[in-house]
Amino acid sequence: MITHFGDIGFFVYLTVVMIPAVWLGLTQRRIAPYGLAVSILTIVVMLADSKRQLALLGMFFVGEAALAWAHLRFLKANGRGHKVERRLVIAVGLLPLALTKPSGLVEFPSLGFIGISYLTFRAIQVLLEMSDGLITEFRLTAYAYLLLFFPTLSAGPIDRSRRFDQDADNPPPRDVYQRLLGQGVWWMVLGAGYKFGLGSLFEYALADGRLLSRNLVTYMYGYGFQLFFDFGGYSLMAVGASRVFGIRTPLNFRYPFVAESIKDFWNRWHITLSFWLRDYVFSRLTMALIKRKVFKNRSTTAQVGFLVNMTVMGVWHGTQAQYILYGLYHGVLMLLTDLYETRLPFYKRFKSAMWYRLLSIVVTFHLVMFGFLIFSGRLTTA
Amino acid sequence: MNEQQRATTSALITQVCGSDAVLAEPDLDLLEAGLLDSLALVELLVGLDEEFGLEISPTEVEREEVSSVNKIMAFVEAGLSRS
Repeated sequence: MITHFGDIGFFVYLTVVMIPAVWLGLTQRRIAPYGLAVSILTIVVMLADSKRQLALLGMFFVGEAALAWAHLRFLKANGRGHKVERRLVIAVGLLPLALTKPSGLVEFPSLGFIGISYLTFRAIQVLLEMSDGLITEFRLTAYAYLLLFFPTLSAGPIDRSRRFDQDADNPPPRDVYQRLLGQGVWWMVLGAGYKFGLGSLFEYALADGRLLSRNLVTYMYGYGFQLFFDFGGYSLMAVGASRVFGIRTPLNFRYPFVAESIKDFWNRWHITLSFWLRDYVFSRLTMALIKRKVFKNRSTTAQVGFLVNMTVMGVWHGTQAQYILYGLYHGVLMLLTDLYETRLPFYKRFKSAMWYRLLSIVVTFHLVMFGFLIFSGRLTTA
Repeated sequence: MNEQQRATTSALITQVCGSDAVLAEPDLDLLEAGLLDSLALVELLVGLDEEFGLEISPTEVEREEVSSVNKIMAFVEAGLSRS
């Protein structure tokens, strides 16, 4: 058995399956049919020891695909105005996540499988954009490729279907593919350095009794960096491997620790998740609130939007107290940032000054690190 | 796009960006200048729906498509000519 971007066996396997992809890319042929076959093979090889996970992932795929197909048929026959159908479809689409994530009264963690949170969000995006009239056809192979694309299977990044299909359907000219290939290989090397070099180093130092584990403050910074190098490194490798298959999976991180505000941080940290939530939760919620004139005040609408959006972000990670608190913490920080930026003349006066920007980076960095400490569970389980 | 529609769009942009000055610099990048955040974009879309009946979902428009006053004008013009 091999572990997704986790052991030497996977990288040997990856190198072998990439060779035909490179040949297809350099000869300007479509990589997608081969990529889909490799993705299915990879899943089978990775989950060979866990028939249960394999079966669950298979059921998930069949269920979501059938739902998308039926949803589109319904929309074509009855138009796009049926709110009840829309809500029902989204609820059913979210069911796999809703059954496996909660911890408490209703709990089926054994129904979980690799990448479920990431895959479900991709499936929901397709359903929502069908309702919006942006996706008007359902191709089973394209849908399978989007959901099961193996470089991003276990932990994203969360790509979008229309963007993904564009890459999968149109092989780039040779020189463009060469650039993608070069970039992809470099990112995989860099990502491996992040994850297995720096990430492992922090992990080592965070273990019980070692240097960074001894007090809460060193643990907090150590954990924050470990999270970044581990997840950032994985994401970079996933994006790099995608490039080799001609898919421009979006980057997930962009220098998060030099963010000048919490809002800016969410444009730099786990970007594909935060943009997904921005587009499918925040924007849609605030749009509904504005259209129905629920709040008189623009700021109130924004603040409710931030709180709900970030709480969903927290719960998406799991329903344990640490994740809900993490979401709420960021929701409150976003709300306060919004108040501060819109109400205080001080901000407007100094926001472009170098000293102010540097100070903002330092303050944001510490707020973010405290958030990771909540996320780590050390505060809630100690 | 007639004068009336142009004036309505200008008023809408001024309102959602919270600044009259943007009209004087129609190529200014509103995203970079921090004048068109996620909520402002939603307000713009709701405004276009209310004023012109243009129903646009948040992911139908790429941010770069509406990142300046001129681009918004072109976007509205394209929308009106389709409807």
